[in-house]
Amino acid sequence: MPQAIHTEQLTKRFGRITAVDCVNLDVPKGALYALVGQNGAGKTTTIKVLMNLIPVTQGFATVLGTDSRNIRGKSYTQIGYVSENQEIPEWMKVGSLLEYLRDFYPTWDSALEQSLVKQFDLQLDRKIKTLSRGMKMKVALATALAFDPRLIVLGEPFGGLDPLVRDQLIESLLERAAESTVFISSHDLAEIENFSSHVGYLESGKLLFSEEMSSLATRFREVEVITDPALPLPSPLPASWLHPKSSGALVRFIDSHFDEQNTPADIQRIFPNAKDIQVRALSLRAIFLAMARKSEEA
Amino acid sequence: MIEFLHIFKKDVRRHWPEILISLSLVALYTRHELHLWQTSPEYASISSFVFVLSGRYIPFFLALSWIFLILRVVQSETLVGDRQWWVTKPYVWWQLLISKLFFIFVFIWVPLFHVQLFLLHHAGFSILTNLGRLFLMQFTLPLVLFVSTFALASLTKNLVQALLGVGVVVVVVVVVVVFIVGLWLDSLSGHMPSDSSLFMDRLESLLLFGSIVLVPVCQFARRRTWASRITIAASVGAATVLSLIPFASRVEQSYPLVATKDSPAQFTIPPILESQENSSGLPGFTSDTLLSIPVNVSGVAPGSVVLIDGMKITADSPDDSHWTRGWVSEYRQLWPGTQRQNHSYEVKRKDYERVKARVLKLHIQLALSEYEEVDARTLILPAATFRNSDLGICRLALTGYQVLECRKPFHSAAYMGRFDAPHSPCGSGRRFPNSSPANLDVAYAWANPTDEVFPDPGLNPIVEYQVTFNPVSRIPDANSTSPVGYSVATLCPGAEIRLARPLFKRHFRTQLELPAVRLQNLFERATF
Repeated sequence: MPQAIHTEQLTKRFGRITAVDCVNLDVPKGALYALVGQNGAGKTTTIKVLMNLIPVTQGFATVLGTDSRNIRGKSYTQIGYVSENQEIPEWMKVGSLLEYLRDFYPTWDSALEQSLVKQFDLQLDRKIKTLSRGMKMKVALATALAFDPRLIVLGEPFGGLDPLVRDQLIESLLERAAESTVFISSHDLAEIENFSSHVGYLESGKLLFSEEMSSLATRFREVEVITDPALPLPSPLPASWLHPKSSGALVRFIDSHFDEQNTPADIQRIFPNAKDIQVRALSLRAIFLAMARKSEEA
Repeated sequence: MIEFLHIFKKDVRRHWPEILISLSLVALYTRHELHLWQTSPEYASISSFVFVLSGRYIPFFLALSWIFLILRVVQSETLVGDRQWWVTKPYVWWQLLISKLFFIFVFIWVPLFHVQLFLLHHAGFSILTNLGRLFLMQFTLPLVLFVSTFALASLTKNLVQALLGVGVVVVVVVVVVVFIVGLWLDSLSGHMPSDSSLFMDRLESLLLFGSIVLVPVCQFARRRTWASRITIAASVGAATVLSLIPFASRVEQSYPLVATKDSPAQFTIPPILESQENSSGLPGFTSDTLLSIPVNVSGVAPGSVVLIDGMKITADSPDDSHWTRGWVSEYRQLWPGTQRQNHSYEVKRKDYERVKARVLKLHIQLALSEYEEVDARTLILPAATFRNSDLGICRLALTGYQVLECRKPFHSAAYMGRFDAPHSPCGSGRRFPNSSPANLDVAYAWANPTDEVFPDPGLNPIVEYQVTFNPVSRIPDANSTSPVGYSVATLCPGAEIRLARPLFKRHFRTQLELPAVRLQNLFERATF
């Protein structure tokens, strides 16, 4: 499958600080890719490097087949970019902004613009500086969607928004998802889980994994084993078993490579006295917490 | 619509108040320049006096409004930072650059150019014959002002940053100047005309101007702010290094030493009177002391003038101590006839205090330029305003005795003038004590040849200047030590003046010696 975004050993340093560390990333075309991680993990920096807003230190990236170092000017006729900390021209009225931008995009869809204005309930004669944060984000998103971009890049778009506005934004994104690739960075895992098709996890600038959401959900399982009699944890345990704990006869761990065939067999091999095995699916939040804890332990 | 026009339209919508202020100031400036033309220098009423006085600040505020406008319009799509909305929109960098340049062209350059055309026409000069140089004039002050502001705007995010940038530049300039003054006093004489200094000046200008032109272009194309700032800083540094190259050797190369007999002006130093006072120099708040060297000059050929461009004094004392302050600039004219001149030379106060009572041997070097007159002709001054091919449009000054007020497009005229006061119908003018009527008969006027092609920097294409006939203090005897008198020549309608164009002949250097002198006897009291 052709990639909308591809990076190889992408690295960005600010002096001695490495913000993005040898990231290898592939975002398939048509995906709704969520780049997640804690604050300071390097999500925003990665996006800025991909958008050529800051120069790359090392490595290589392509965005829609173009070297990211050449992303500028006309490249943005195919990329809709919205970031929470973007400085938009607040002196303009909403209508003037849309009118001004119309001429820059050959693919600007006036009908879509009207529909977005209606959907987001934008007041065209209001100056942007008088709008609330949520409304400003809606304006920015409307300008980023109205020209049918092939790639929509969103940096922390939901930060500080009320649930209603968030739902509206997500709804509009999902409407576009069929035609575009969406690359979104967020630390709001609950939102991401609901609509992302792919997810990547950044920790201290390193990409710990990047895969389809369904595969991730299948791969991570919380496992509880009841043994009789109670035994101390054997050592070593498989590396894919995260945070193993035992409490009397109960052993609990998260398997990061769960397999319906192999995992029960492994459990039986390691705990021959296992009486009962319970396997539960994990929320995205639980998966990331497990990953974060593993990273901290390391 | 063409993209740059689209951005331009947006900028006009946004910045109309600034545009309005700028255009109002242009109108005020034009009115002020016309007002001066009509009423100067009588100050007919208090209101016109106030207008003229306040008008002195109009060009300043006009320039300030342009700077503000350029900063605002360039920074409306700021090139600094990575959070700007426009950088992720399909702006083509050169279209954006053109839109900003077009804005400056339309709202700053075009109004200014039209005002200049109007002033030229109103002053009575032909627009067609001066159009070429009017275009050239745009490459002087306006271009430097616009380009450097444009560069500043492209390297800063907002007005506060721009002000900080100006502050940094001012601090750097002050530090550099202090550094240069501290290390190479010779460089103070940098305005002396010499080919090598001209080359260095041009190299420095090229470096500085090249960087402030190229950096904004690169900044629009790539937005690498720190790289751009470092480039500008590096060119300023390189220009500073160039200006730090010792000047003395360059002066001495450009002004070859000639034997006394070959010098077109002969210099002698009259006997120095012993001072009874053990002077301690100027009061303590100044670190410098002025020496006054009396020099008698003779031998300048008729139809010639010799300019003293610079002076260097080296002192030797019997205990082999040796000091010099290096070359310092002078601006004196030596005319035919025997004259007495006092030359001031600044020395460090601490040096002066150290050696003032000792008997020293002084070596005095003078850097000189010789000019001779060409196309000399006689002009009888009319009562009304008159037009002269070299001087422009002139009239007798209403407030001065020895002054012609003239106006000329682009730069003041270069001239050599002579006025024989006793043979004029104007009377002999005011005479001051100790003057000897027989020796006060001639007044001379002089202005250096300028670059005839390139106009003077400024906003107004009409340069107003004065042709001043200064009396020359002649003495009957070169060895005389008596005080010299002078008088002020008076010009009037019907007075006959001789005017010529000066032609540069050569630079040369001559040397004088004072074998035994105490510095305290040369101490210049009158300067403080």
